Amino acid sequence: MTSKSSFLASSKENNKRRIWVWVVSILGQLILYPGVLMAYISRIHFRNGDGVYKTVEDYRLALQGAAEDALGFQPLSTFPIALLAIVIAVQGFSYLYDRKKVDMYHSVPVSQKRRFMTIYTNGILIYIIPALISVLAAVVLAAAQGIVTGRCMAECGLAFILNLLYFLIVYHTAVLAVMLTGNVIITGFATVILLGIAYIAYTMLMVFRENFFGTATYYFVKSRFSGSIVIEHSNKISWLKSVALLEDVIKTILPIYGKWLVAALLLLALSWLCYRKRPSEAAGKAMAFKQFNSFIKIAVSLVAGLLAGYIVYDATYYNTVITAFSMAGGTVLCCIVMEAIYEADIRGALKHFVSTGIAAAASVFIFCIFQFDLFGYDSYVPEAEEVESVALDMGPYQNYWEWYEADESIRYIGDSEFLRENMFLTDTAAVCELARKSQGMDLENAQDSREVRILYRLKSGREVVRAFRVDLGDSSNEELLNRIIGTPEYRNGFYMMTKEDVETAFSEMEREWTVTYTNGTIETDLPPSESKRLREMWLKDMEQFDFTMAHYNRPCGRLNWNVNDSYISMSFPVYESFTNTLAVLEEYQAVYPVELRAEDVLSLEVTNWHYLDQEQYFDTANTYSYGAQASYVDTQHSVRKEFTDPEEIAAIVENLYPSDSRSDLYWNDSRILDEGYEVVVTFKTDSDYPYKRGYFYYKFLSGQVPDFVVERTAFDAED
Amino acid sequence: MNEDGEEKYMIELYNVTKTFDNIKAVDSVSVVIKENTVFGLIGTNGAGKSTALRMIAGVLKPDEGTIAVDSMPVYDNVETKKRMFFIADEPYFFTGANAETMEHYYSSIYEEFNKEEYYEYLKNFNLERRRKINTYSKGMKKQLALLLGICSHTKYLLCDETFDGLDPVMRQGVKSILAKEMEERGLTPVIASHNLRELEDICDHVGLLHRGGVLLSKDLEDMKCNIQKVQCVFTSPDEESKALGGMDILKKEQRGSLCTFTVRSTKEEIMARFATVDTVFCEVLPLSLEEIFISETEVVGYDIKKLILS
Repeated sequence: MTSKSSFLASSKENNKRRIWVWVVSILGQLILYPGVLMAYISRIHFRNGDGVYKTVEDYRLALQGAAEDALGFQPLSTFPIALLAIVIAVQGFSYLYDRKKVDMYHSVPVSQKRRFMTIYTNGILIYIIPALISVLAAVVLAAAQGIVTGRCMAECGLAFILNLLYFLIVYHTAVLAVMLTGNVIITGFATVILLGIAYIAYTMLMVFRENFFGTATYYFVKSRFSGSIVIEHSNKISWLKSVALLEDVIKTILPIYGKWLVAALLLLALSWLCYRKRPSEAAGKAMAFKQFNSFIKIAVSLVAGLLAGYIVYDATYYNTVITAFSMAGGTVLCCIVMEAIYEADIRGALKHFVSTGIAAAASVFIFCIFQFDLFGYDSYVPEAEEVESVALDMGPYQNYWEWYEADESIRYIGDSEFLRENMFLTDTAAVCELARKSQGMDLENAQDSREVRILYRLKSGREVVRAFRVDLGDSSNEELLNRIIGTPEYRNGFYMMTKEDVETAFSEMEREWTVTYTNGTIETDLPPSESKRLREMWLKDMEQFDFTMAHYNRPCGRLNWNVNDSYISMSFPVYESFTNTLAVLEEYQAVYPVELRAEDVLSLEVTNWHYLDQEQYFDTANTYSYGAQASYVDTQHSVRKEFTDPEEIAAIVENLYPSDSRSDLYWNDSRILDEGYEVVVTFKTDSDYPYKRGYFYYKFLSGQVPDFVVERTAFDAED
Repeated sequence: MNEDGEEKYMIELYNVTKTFDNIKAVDSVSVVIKENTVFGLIGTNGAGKSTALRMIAGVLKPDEGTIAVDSMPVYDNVETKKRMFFIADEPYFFTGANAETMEHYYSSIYEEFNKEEYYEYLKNFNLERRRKINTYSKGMKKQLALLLGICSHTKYLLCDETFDGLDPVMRQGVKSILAKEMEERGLTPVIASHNLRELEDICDHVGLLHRGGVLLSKDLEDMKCNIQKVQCVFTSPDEESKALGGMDILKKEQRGSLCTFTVRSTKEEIMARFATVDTVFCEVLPLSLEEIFISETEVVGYDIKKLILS
């Protein structure tokens, strides 16, 4: 028995007026779980009829996959759940929009707390009960087909919890939107704004930062909350769907959703506070709390101004004057629209011009922050003593990856992620001095410059990321670069093979793997049993590695560790001074000079791309690197000549260098090779060298193209 | 009256002010509503009647001043609201609801709700219990709202324009029920209306609101006893002077020899005074509520006809 005024009685009465929402929730979730499952199964049946699955096992695995997809992480469920949460919230508290209803509900002897809690908890029940029923129905259906796996159930359980937390945060946001507004249309706008404004604002600020500040970079920046819970949940669910082992990521994902739960509770507290303070007379008006109107107007208008500025900035090809006017104009226009909405009268659009003026001024100020770098973003370099450690990337590119021992699945790790986790340079004075010297210098067109990306880990716990170019040709930088690069901290943070566990992983790996050495042309397989010795020798040789060595010497070859039948590989440079490594390689006759022997070459086909002659085809040729131009080059205007004369071949080969894909292992200027030419070498079949293929790609060393090659491959516009 | 014979004020408004968008709907209103009386709140549209009633019902929170019901605050006070039932000018009924549905709702909220009485009244008022309310006429909806309010058995029944639209038979029926409830359980109805004539035969006490403020608040009986209309034909001007000397004449009209006075005094005092003068004809007549209001408000400089009788 429940007393007349019990919570259950209130809940029951409230639910009588929410039947259609129950129906929508039940139907929607039946479609989302059993419906989607049946659709997936039907599709697999259909495809099986077409003979797509070769074996019964394939068919069974496909069905199990379908069950996991339908019951587990469905990225597409993100939007229906958000929509349902908004509908439930708005319908539940929609009485606040209607004076007649407010008169009735607020005059009866039911406390605000009881009324709020009744509507609120019923809203959650409207989601959770149909969700449970639908998921259970889908599980029963899948079980009847015999396609329920442990993974399926684990995904199902985890997805249910994560979806519930996601529902809560959207639901609470929508409840807050109802509390702040006085009619359903404005609530709709408010919900969209609350769910999306942080995302738009954050994205716009990032875009502005990247466009206006030369030292801005996303490198080293950890994946951050994008500002939109809908996008974040969708991304997380998609990610979880691709994860091999759930138990490995639960520790990662649950704290994130734990934070969301805290955010949801804060939103709930705020909603309750607004409900308590909301005046009954707000029913039917645009906004419930007049005192916040100006603040909301300014905030929303500033974001609209940023958006307008960005669109115009892009459309006018970075015209800053028009961008500034557009930002102010967009802000004012948004203010006018919002005033008209507040007043529910177009004539009210010009009211409260003071706050509109403040918004416009703030918009211009934001533009000035970026345009004139008012806060010194580009010139910021922390004091060395403020910095705990530094991670730095200035190339060359490396592959990083990690594997899961349980199933030996492997995933690539981004270079910034690896460096962030492994590089802790402590000579912060050298890094800060290098930054101070280089930041703000226009080195875009410098002959020998390289981009450096730095993560400062400050003692305060804050992290600062900057990017700038360093002039590698400036000898005054050499000492600083040696202090940075010629350290075990750098090598340990940069080269994956310095990690003990990597060698262990290879040696214990059940999958087939190989170690090879190549001079860029000839590749020699080495026994995996030598892997450990090679690593040790290479590490010993690397102790001499510093900027001076790397900058003034070209590698004579590289060591590769490869996992067969995969894209997993690691390459490490070998220099002529790496005597310990080369000694091991000599044991296996793996060492061949980089330079070609003219007597081994049958012919050379030289292509002159004539980039400079084709600049007429590029409006902004100077803004592109040779590499970028190469992707646009008009091959009809390139000139290709074959050289077979032994003397000419001899003159050419002494200036060639292998042009394999790992030229990025070189530490000096990226233009050490002349990208304007390509040389295809065809070897004689009776050569002593063990060439495995008939021809190879080479490039001229920069500035070493023989004159007769230049003449013979000259561009003739009339050709 | 309490046990000590003192008057007990059950609903008290002190300097209550409510502003909507810079417009003062209720401006420093102070009114007391006595126990077991029918209080009529009179005023034109926009005078602040509904706002005042909604504040008494705890729907709106006053910007300034205090409202107490049985010495307790009203706003978000469940204990106070248990003693009140508010019938808005446009009562809300759930979508698709019938009289039974509404009974289920109100009986789940008001512990004293009397279902038997409710269904009995429905029958007496010819309101079909299972007919959808949205098919009811405006008057039927008001009847239903009144019956729900009466059967909730609250001490106070706040009616906003509830009698507007009821036909005379129904009005009489409702009046009878109110009288019965007042007698049996001390119900105190507070009735807001823009029509003075509607309240004349119901109210014991009337408060006149105008532009958010109280023009006057008096017991109807007091007003009726203290204002009289005298029709008289004097034998001479001297007799007239003798009769009217020292009396509080609110209004005087003369058509031929027939003089009509509105006098602030009791019937007994007037009769005693006129007994001492020589008249051809003299009669003391009762004033209608309308006439009393005209006289009272004219004194304070308002033309009541323009306010509530037009």
